[in-house]
Amino acid sequence: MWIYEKKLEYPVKIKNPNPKLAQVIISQLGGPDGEIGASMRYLHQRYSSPYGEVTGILTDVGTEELAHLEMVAAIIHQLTRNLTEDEVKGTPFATYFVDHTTGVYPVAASGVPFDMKYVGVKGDIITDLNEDLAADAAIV
Amino acid sequence: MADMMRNYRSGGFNPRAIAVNEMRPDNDARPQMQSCQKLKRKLQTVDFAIIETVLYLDAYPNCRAALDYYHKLVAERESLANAINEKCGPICHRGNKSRTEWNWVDGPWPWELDANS
Repeated sequence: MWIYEKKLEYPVKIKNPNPKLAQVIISQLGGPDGEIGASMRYLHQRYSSPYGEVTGILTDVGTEELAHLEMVAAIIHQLTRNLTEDEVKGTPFATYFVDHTTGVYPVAASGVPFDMKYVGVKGDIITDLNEDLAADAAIV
Repeated sequence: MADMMRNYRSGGFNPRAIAVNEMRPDNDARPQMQSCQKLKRKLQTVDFAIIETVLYLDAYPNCRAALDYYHKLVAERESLANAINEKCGPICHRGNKSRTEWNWVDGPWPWELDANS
């Protein structure tokens, strides 16, 4: 089970709102290579892992990805802090603003909401680890 | 996964390479004497070291050096977290020390700018 600790894994300190940047960074939250996908992938693959070490890694990395998604959400929150409709008009963020204003909603930069289709869980640990290599290599 | 690859590529576990806290001795190192901001930053640092060590131990459960380092970090962590709960408000929902106030719902929350300055 999960306990929440009231701190970010690493501080996020953004002094100046920037809707253009928010539009790009939102993909790290709700996009195909984002943190929601990463945490869901690892946390769900661990149920069919036959090796304790692998289950441990999938649990611990999956949990850490939840901490990451909180940091990305903090970045979006601070980048869009107090923005008005006029300030986002003409920026790529304007479309997101229509449906979510300055709320933090998990979408990709394209506007597609997070989709569990980005995640593969096949019940075979070797297959699943290959999915992990493919997913994380996209970032590396 | 990227975290595990990073550990493996660095050629194994070397606690001396990670002794950041030891490289900067605090003259008044007792947790009770430091500001909440400093204490929380320190906790973030130690907790991160713990996460990395835990991931390493998951892959190499028989590494005694890593396990010793883990225990050292966890002990330091415990005293930091206790000091924060006492002095600054609960870091975790079971850390609310006050018998008269429920401080868990107090701001700032971690994603707000004020919590990170």
